Amino acid sequence: MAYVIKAEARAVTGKGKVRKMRRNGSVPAVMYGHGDPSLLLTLNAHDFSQTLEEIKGHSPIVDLDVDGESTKCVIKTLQRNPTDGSLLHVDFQKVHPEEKITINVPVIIHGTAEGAKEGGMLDHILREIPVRAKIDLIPEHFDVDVTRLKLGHSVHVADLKVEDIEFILPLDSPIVTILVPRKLAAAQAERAEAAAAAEAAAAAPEVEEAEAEEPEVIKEKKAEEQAGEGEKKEKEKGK
Amino acid sequence: MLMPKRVKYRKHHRGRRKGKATSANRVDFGEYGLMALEPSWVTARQIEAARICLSKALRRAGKLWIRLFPDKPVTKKPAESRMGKGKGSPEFWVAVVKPGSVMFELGGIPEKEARSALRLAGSKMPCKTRVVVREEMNYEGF
Repeated sequence: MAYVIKAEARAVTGKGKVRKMRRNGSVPAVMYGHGDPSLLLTLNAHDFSQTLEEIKGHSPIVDLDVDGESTKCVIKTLQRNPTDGSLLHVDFQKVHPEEKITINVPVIIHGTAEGAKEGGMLDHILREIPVRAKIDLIPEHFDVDVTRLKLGHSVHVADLKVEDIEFILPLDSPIVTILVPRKLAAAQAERAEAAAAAEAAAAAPEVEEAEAEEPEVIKEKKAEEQAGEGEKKEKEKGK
Repeated sequence: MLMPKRVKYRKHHRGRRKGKATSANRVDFGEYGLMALEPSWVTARQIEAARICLSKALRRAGKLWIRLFPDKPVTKKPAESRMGKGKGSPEFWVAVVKPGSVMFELGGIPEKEARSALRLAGSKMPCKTRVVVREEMNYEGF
């Protein structure tokens, strides 16, 4: 889906004038790329925030409409005020359809993991995955189904089935893992101990049975002993 | 309590606390965070109090991230001593916090519990705080 952002060319520069612009509900922006001179822009803060809400969970590829002329761009950087979250500045980078770009693609998790139902904690390690590909091949997001994930299991980058996309991260990087909480780990350890004790208890009768099966050996021993005793008696008689 | 194992200098200047947080200013690890809205010095005791409060709320489930460390020594002169005779001796350790710093993060617990725990931890802090939720996407450049 193409998101259209409307912008106007800007002649105003300098922090004082730009602050005044922000107070009037605009956001300063810049568009650059392909060796062209960078173009200063102004966006409507309210409209841009709404577009950002729509883009949430999708890769930030947009059509930037500057005074009627549309250009394919990616939202390269978004500067915000750390305390109130208001927008300070936006960077757009021009992209060409035949050009490979590096971009962060969001990961969306589907379902409830089996391990989570058993008390495990779902740890979403990679929320965005950097990929390198042509702009048309870049997916809007990666869908990860975690319903079959058990305790201690993970989904790795290698598990994503996509073609013609180069992953920047190692393929064994985990995206999602089901952590075993300490409470559950302790309970599991107790259960394991109990199971080990039960196994030992179960093994004990086997030993007895083995011993019960052993009488043959005992008989042999008895025979040997009897033979030994017989020899002793003979010796005693000889004396 | 948290404090450095080794330091290069025993005593620091007091420094200035102007500006906003330029790093650690968003939720990076967990789902929810506690953000400082004022500049302040957070002592090791205050961090410990908040940590205890948060770990009680977690009840051995979920995960806690402490994103500040008290690496600045604060000195004090003994009571009833006259001025002069040099700088006092280090008394306690503080972490310098600026508006926008995310101090604690929680993950793996429901939002309601996380919010109430972080609000409680915020009451142990020396500055105004706000509970923040992780953003869907960080457009931080690539």
